[in-house]
Amino acid sequence: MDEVTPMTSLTAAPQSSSAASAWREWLVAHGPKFLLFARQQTRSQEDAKDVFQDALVKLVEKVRTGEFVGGQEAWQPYLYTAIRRLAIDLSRRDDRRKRREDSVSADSETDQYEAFHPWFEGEESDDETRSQLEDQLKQLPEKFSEVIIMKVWGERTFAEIGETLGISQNTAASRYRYGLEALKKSLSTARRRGDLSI
Amino acid sequence: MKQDSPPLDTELRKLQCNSLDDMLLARLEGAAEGTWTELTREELQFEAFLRQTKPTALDSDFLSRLETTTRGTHFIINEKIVLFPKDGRGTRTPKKYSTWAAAAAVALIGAASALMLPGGGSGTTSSQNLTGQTSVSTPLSPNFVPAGFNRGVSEVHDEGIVWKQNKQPQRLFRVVYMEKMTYKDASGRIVEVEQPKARYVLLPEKTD
Repeated sequence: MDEVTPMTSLTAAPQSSSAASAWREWLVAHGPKFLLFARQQTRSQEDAKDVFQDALVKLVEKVRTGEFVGGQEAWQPYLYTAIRRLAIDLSRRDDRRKRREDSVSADSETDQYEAFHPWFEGEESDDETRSQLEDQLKQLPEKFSEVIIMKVWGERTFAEIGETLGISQNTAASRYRYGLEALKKSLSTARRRGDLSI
Repeated sequence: MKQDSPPLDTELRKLQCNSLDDMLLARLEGAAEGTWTELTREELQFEAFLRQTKPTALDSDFLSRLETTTRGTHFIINEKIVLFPKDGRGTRTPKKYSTWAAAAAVALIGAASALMLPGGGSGTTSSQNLTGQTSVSTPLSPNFVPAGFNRGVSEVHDEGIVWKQNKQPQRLFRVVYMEKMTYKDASGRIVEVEQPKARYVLLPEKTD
């Protein structure tokens, strides 16, 4: 039942904790892992930002209109799913993979660009680890790396990952294990070669 | 029909399937037992090692872009608590609305709730006149009498500016809440009735 109530006097004080600062805190805390996932799902840093922003717009619009089902705890699974779908749509539209394969010079430009937009925070001491990790994640089959990124840095459960990817949690766990094993081997090889100090 | 060689199916039967490798066996066994999603200590250690490397933080320009996206949207902590926007510039309405206005809308609902408490004396009549709402109708027997009332605001939406006949612009808020009525009979039996409701509140809007 909807009713209209005229109001003439105001008695409530404003709430001290504002929604704007709460959103900012939430974005600072969780944004990096979504951008990392978007980065893994797309072909460039700019695409990743666009996809992440579009996913956030979808979430915010649903929250604003009251269509979103669930509380804040459901935002993260929603964003992972939205980022992945938007990245797939973008990939289909741009056909970036084909263009990437066709153009060696583009690869070179991309490598130079990526050097300025690393996936991970790098400090002097572990810069090699960061670089190796990023390289190995890029070389992994996408179906492994997306599970690893969601599990390790997104701290999602296998059930949540399965929901996002449309697979069972056992399949998610299998992909995670295969990917983890491959990552471990490649990092060990790098360490033996002396590329890593871990 | 004369056959020079053994039938094909006989030949095929001689072929042996490859045995399952250890990894696949472990996977199938774990899946059957429901333990495949549990990580070993070694896997957890490697996971912790990987997690030490942090994803790159959002740069300030991108963070500002994202903040613009969220402007005017309530930050929901849980189903009962809604933080109000500091800057109320939503996508639907270009003009800002202030925090006190949203808070006041909820305050009005709270006041109306108090007036509508069952058995609230003269306040009940005022409330009914104010909102045009009567108490919740239920198919309960007359033996059940109201024993409690609770109302929780879950969402407040800014619906934009409304121009009424007196030319005074007013901002329309849609307040969504859940009413919970508790009834009790002589033997102590309790019945709870929940009813979702939405209410529209008009607040005068400042004009330049």
